[in-house]
Amino acid sequence: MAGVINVTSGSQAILTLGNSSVLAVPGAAGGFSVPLVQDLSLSTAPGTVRYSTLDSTSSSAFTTVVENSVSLNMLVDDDAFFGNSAVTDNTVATNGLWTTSNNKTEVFFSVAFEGTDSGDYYLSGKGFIGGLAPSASIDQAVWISPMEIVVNGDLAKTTLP
Amino acid sequence: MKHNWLRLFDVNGKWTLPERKIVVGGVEHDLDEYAKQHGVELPDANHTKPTNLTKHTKPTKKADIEVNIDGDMGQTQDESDTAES
Repeated sequence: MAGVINVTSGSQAILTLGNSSVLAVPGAAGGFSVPLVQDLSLSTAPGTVRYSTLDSTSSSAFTTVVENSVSLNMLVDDDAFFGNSAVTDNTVATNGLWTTSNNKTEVFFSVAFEGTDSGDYYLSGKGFIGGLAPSASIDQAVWISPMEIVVNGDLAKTTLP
Repeated sequence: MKHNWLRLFDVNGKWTLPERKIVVGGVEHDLDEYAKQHGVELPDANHTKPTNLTKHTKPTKKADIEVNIDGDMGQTQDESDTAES
Protein backbone atom coordinates (compact mmCIF):
# COMPACT_ATOMS: atom_id res chain seq x y z
CA MET A 1 0.00 0.00 0.00
CA ALA A 2 1.68 3.08 -1.23
CA GLY A 3 1.64 6.01 1.10
CA VAL A 4 1.08 4.11 4.34
CA ILE A 5 3.64 5.09 6.96
CA ASN A 6 4.81 2.00 8.77
CA VAL A 7 6.35 2.91 12.12
CA THR A 8 7.48 -0.53 13.20
CA SER A 9 11.12 0.18 12.39
CA GLY A 10 11.20 2.15 15.62
CA SER A 11 12.66 5.28 14.06
CA GLN A 12 9.68 6.88 12.37
CA ALA A 13 7.36 8.43 14.96
CA ILE A 14 9.56 10.73 17.03
CA LEU A 15 8.72 13.55 19.43
CA THR A 16 11.57 16.06 19.67
CA LEU A 17 11.67 18.94 22.16
CA GLY A 18 13.88 21.98 22.38
CA ASN A 19 14.09 25.47 23.80
CA SER A 20 14.35 26.78 20.23
CA SER A 21 12.69 25.80 16.99
CA VAL A 22 16.06 24.77 15.54
CA LEU A 23 16.69 22.31 18.38
CA ALA A 24 13.22 20.84 17.95
CA VAL A 25 13.72 19.77 14.33
CA PRO A 26 13.69 15.96 14.07
CA GLY A 27 17.23 14.63 14.16
CA ALA A 28 18.73 18.02 15.02
CA ALA A 29 22.00 17.99 16.93
CA GLY A 30 21.10 18.81 20.53
CA GLY A 31 17.41 18.02 20.05
CA PHE A 32 15.72 16.22 22.95
CA SER A 33 14.06 13.13 21.53
CA VAL A 34 11.60 11.88 24.15
CA PRO A 35 12.49 8.24 24.84
CA LEU A 36 10.34 5.20 25.62
CA VAL A 37 7.18 6.57 24.02
CA GLN A 38 4.44 3.94 23.80
CA ASP A 39 1.89 5.84 21.75
CA LEU A 40 1.68 9.30 20.29
CA SER A 41 -1.42 11.25 19.23
CA LEU A 42 -1.84 14.58 17.55
CA SER A 43 -5.12 16.43 17.73
CA THR A 44 -6.20 19.30 15.51
CA ALA A 45 -9.69 20.36 16.47
CA PRO A 46 -11.34 23.33 14.78
CA GLY A 47 -13.80 25.07 17.08
CA THR A 48 -17.30 25.38 15.68
CA VAL A 49 -20.40 27.32 16.56
CA ARG A 50 -23.78 25.95 15.55
CA TYR A 51 -26.87 28.03 15.04
CA SER A 52 -30.38 27.46 13.84
CA THR A 53 -32.65 29.69 11.85
CA LEU A 54 -36.37 29.63 11.22
CA ASP A 55 -35.93 29.20 7.49
CA SER A 56 -33.96 25.97 7.69
CA THR A 57 -34.70 22.51 8.97
CA SER A 58 -30.99 21.86 9.61
CA SER A 59 -28.59 23.74 11.81
CA SER A 60 -25.74 25.71 10.30
CA ALA A 61 -22.17 26.10 11.54
CA PHE A 62 -19.08 28.25 11.26
CA THR A 63 -15.59 27.59 12.48
CA THR A 64 -13.76 29.55 15.15
CA VAL A 65 -10.19 28.76 16.15
CA VAL A 66 -8.25 25.51 15.90
CA GLU A 67 -7.11 23.87 19.12
CA ASN A 68 -4.01 21.73 18.68
CA SER A 69 -2.49 19.29 21.13
CA VAL A 70 -0.07 16.39 21.30
CA SER A 71 -0.59 13.54 23.74
CA LEU A 72 1.40 10.44 24.50
CA ASN A 73 2.11 7.73 26.99
CA MET A 74 5.64 6.87 27.94
CA LEU A 75 7.71 4.81 30.29
CA VAL A 76 9.44 7.18 32.70
CA ASP A 77 13.12 7.62 31.85
CA ASP A 78 14.93 9.21 34.79
CA ASP A 79 17.05 11.59 32.71
CA ALA A 80 14.16 12.60 30.48
CA PHE A 81 11.77 13.09 33.39
CA PHE A 82 14.03 14.68 35.99
CA GLY A 83 16.67 16.27 33.77
CA ASN A 84 20.22 15.69 32.74
CA SER A 85 22.67 18.32 33.96
CA ALA A 86 25.26 17.05 31.48
CA VAL A 87 23.20 18.51 28.65
CA THR A 88 24.04 22.18 28.30
CA ASP A 89 22.68 23.16 24.89
CA ASN A 90 18.99 22.34 25.37
CA THR A 91 17.33 23.50 28.58
CA VAL A 92 14.35 21.19 28.11
CA ALA A 93 16.70 18.20 28.35
CA THR A 94 18.72 19.85 31.12
CA ASN A 95 15.67 20.50 33.29
CA GLY A 96 13.65 17.44 32.30
CA LEU A 97 9.96 17.10 31.52
CA TRP A 98 8.67 17.52 35.06
CA THR A 99 10.56 20.76 35.84
CA THR A 100 9.72 22.18 32.43
CA SER A 101 6.06 21.43 33.06
CA ASN A 102 6.12 22.68 36.65
CA ASN A 103 7.83 25.92 35.59
CA LYS A 104 5.27 26.37 32.81
CA THR A 105 8.11 26.91 30.36
CA GLU A 106 7.11 27.11 26.72
CA VAL A 107 8.86 24.52 24.56
CA PHE A 108 9.28 23.99 20.85
CA PHE A 109 8.46 20.55 19.55
CA SER A 110 8.18 18.46 16.42
CA VAL A 111 6.44 15.20 15.67
CA ALA A 112 8.25 13.26 12.97
CA PHE A 113 5.95 10.95 11.04
CA GLU A 114 8.47 9.19 8.81
CA GLY A 115 11.84 9.50 10.53
CA THR A 116 14.68 11.92 10.01
CA ASP A 117 15.68 11.44 6.36
CA SER A 118 15.55 14.12 3.67
CA GLY A 119 11.99 14.74 2.51
CA ASP A 120 10.35 13.13 5.54
CA TYR A 121 7.30 14.97 6.82
CA TYR A 122 6.98 16.41 10.30
CA LEU A 123 4.66 18.76 12.16
CA SER A 124 6.05 21.36 14.51
CA GLY A 125 4.94 24.07 16.88
CA LYS A 126 5.34 25.39 20.39
CA GLY A 127 3.40 24.86 23.57
CA PHE A 128 3.32 23.87 27.20
CA ILE A 129 3.96 20.47 28.72
CA GLY A 130 1.15 19.19 30.93
CA GLY A 131 -0.74 16.10 31.90
CA LEU A 132 2.17 14.35 33.56
CA ALA A 133 0.76 11.70 35.90
CA PRO A 134 3.34 8.99 36.56
CA SER A 135 2.03 5.80 38.07
CA ALA A 136 3.43 2.44 39.09
CA SER A 137 2.09 -0.63 40.79
CA ILE A 138 3.33 -4.04 41.77
CA ASP A 139 1.56 -5.54 38.79
CA GLN A 140 2.78 -2.82 36.46
CA ALA A 141 6.27 -2.59 37.84
CA VAL A 142 7.57 0.31 35.76
CA TRP A 143 6.69 3.95 35.97
CA ILE A 144 4.38 5.00 33.18
CA SER A 145 3.10 8.50 32.56
CA PRO A 146 0.84 10.27 30.12
CA MET A 147 1.93 13.64 28.80
CA GLU A 148 0.32 16.36 26.81
CA ILE A 149 1.62 19.37 24.93
CA VAL A 150 -0.96 22.13 24.85
CA VAL A 151 -0.05 23.79 21.58
CA ASN A 152 0.22 27.56 21.54
CA GLY A 153 -0.69 28.59 17.99
CA ASP A 154 -0.41 26.78 14.71
CA LEU A 155 1.13 23.50 13.72
CA ALA A 156 3.42 23.76 10.70
CA LYS A 157 3.91 21.03 8.12
CA THR A 158 7.50 20.72 6.91
CA THR A 159 9.78 18.30 5.10
CA LEU A 160 13.28 17.65 6.35
CA PRO A 161 16.15 19.03 4.25
CA MET B 1 11.61 1.78 -2.77
CA LYS B 2 9.99 5.09 -1.93
CA HIS B 3 12.29 8.11 -2.07
CA ASN B 4 10.88 10.84 0.16
CA TRP B 5 13.73 13.16 -0.79
CA LEU B 6 12.10 13.59 -4.22
CA ARG B 7 9.63 15.85 -2.38
CA LEU B 8 12.42 18.39 -2.16
CA PHE B 9 11.96 19.16 -5.87
CA ASP B 10 9.32 21.82 -6.47
CA VAL B 11 6.43 21.53 -8.94
CA ASN B 12 8.68 22.83 -11.69
CA GLY B 13 11.22 20.11 -11.03
CA LYS B 14 13.68 22.50 -9.41
CA TRP B 15 15.77 21.38 -6.42
CA THR B 16 14.73 23.53 -3.46
CA LEU B 17 17.77 23.26 -1.21
CA PRO B 18 20.98 25.28 -1.54
CA GLU B 19 23.12 22.12 -1.74
CA ARG B 20 22.50 18.93 -3.69
CA LYS B 21 22.89 16.78 -0.58
CA ILE B 22 20.41 14.38 0.99
CA VAL B 23 20.28 12.36 4.18
CA VAL B 24 19.15 8.75 3.87
CA GLY B 25 19.35 6.39 6.82
CA GLY B 26 21.20 9.03 8.79
CA VAL B 27 23.98 9.21 6.18
CA GLU B 28 24.57 12.22 3.96
CA HIS B 29 24.85 11.54 0.22
CA ASP B 30 25.45 13.56 -2.91
CA LEU B 31 22.01 13.77 -4.55
CA ASP B 32 23.16 13.02 -8.09
CA GLU B 33 25.42 10.15 -7.07
CA TYR B 34 22.70 8.59 -4.92
CA ALA B 35 20.10 8.88 -7.67
CA LYS B 36 22.50 7.31 -10.16
CA GLN B 37 23.30 4.43 -7.83
CA HIS B 38 19.61 3.70 -7.24
CA GLY B 39 18.42 4.25 -10.79
CA VAL B 40 16.25 7.24 -9.94
CA GLU B 41 15.64 9.74 -12.72
CA LEU B 42 15.72 13.20 -11.21
CA PRO B 43 13.13 15.82 -12.26
CA ASP B 44 16.04 18.06 -13.25
CA ALA B 45 17.93 15.31 -15.07
CA ASN B 46 19.52 17.88 -17.36
CA HIS B 47 21.14 19.54 -14.38
CA THR B 48 24.88 19.88 -14.80
CA LYS B 49 27.30 20.73 -12.10
CA PRO B 50 28.67 24.26 -12.50
CA THR B 51 32.12 24.25 -14.07
CA ASN B 52 34.75 26.95 -14.07
CA LEU B 53 34.92 28.00 -17.69
CA THR B 54 37.46 30.79 -17.29
CA LYS B 55 41.07 29.76 -17.69
CA HIS B 56 43.79 31.62 -15.92
CA THR B 57 47.00 31.59 -17.96
CA LYS B 58 50.29 33.02 -16.97
CA PRO B 59 50.84 36.29 -18.88
CA THR B 60 53.57 36.12 -21.48
CA LYS B 61 56.46 38.48 -21.46
CA LYS B 62 55.11 40.21 -24.57
CA ALA B 63 51.79 40.84 -22.81
CA ASP B 64 53.68 42.28 -19.85
CA ILE B 65 55.45 44.67 -22.15
CA GLU B 66 52.17 45.73 -23.80
CA VAL B 67 50.66 46.39 -20.39
CA ASN B 68 53.60 48.54 -19.51
CA ILE B 69 53.34 50.44 -22.77
CA ASP B 70 49.65 51.08 -22.28
CA GLY B 71 50.12 52.00 -18.65
CA ASP B 72 50.50 55.49 -17.29
CA MET B 73 54.14 54.92 -16.45
CA GLY B 74 53.86 56.98 -13.34
CA GLN B 75 52.16 59.94 -14.96
CA THR B 76 49.58 61.69 -12.82
CA GLN B 77 46.09 62.13 -14.17
CA ASP B 78 44.65 65.54 -14.68
CA GLU B 79 42.06 66.08 -11.94
CA SER B 80 39.69 67.72 -14.40
CA ASP B 81 39.35 64.38 -16.23
CA THR B 82 37.92 62.64 -13.20
CA ALA B 83 36.08 65.45 -11.47
CA GLU B 84 32.38 64.77 -11.20
CA SER B 85 30.06 67.41 -12.51
